[in-house]
Amino acid sequence: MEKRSLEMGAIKKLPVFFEKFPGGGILATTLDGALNYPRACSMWYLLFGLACCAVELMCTGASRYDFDRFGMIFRASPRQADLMIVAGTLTKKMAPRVKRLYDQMPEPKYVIAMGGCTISGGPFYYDSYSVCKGIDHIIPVDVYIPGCPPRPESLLEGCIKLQEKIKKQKLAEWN
Amino acid sequence: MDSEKIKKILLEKFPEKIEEKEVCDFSPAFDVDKDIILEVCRFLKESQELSYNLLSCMVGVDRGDGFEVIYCLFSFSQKHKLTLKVPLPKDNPEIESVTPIWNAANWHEREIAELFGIKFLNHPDPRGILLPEDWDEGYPMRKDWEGKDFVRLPEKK
Repeated sequence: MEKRSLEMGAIKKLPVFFEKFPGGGILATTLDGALNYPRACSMWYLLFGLACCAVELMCTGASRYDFDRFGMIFRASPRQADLMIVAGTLTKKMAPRVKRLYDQMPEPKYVIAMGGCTISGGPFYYDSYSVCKGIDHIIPVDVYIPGCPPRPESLLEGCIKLQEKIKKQKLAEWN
Repeated sequence: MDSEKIKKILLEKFPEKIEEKEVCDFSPAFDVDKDIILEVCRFLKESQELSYNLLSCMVGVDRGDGFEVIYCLFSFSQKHKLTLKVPLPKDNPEIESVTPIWNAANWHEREIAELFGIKFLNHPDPRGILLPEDWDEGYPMRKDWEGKDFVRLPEKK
């Protein structure tokens, strides 16, 4: 029973030293591991639906694809969010608001650019006066998910990629 | 009321200022001189037999050699439609605002003024409406417009 609990969950995925003795045990791990694991496994995302990609985002959050199993819950306030999933066409008028919301999020914060419009302007790249040609002109992006709109599977894949990225972070490299 | 009757009334009331323009079967269309647009619109709304009480749509067009403002009207009581077209010159396009007649024109005119640079005289609230507050790149719906990061679709070969 105890052997099984060792192999399960967080302990299995962390670099740990574990020593048992009667009535308890000692567990030692790295600070990076102890910080990154909970960060990667409870990414609360800011609701940020700008256009049709938001429908896929909602679908991913709903029961069939179920974001909750990655510990991802939507937040309506940037103060409580770790992740910004920008889903939809970013217009030039919206761009300063996106920047402001990003600035209001507490560190560490991550950004997923979902869909062609957010990445580059998408179908509105040509002949458009109103659409911003890529969100990376405004805020830094961690993961790009192409598609028009991307299917929920793609979004989940992007989130898993972001989790992998977070788990590889080093405290010493942060500035 | 049928198109022929509407046409007769209008051409009698404003001879030589209004010209018939065939667009489609269900809505008669007329070219109107821009100097009498306010007068025409007031007549259309207040006349008992026409009573166009709804401005359902307002359009700005860049024809290349000039501009055009199009008014689409509808009457709830008579159930008939009407389209008015007002050609405007390329430089310094100006037209009287119809907001005092139909309040719906307020935001439509602000939009057309902002995107085409057509000036609506005596508009009660002549601010911008859709573009960013700090917009300084001119009138984006004009055919000859070029913006800072505007990319035109390449010609197909």
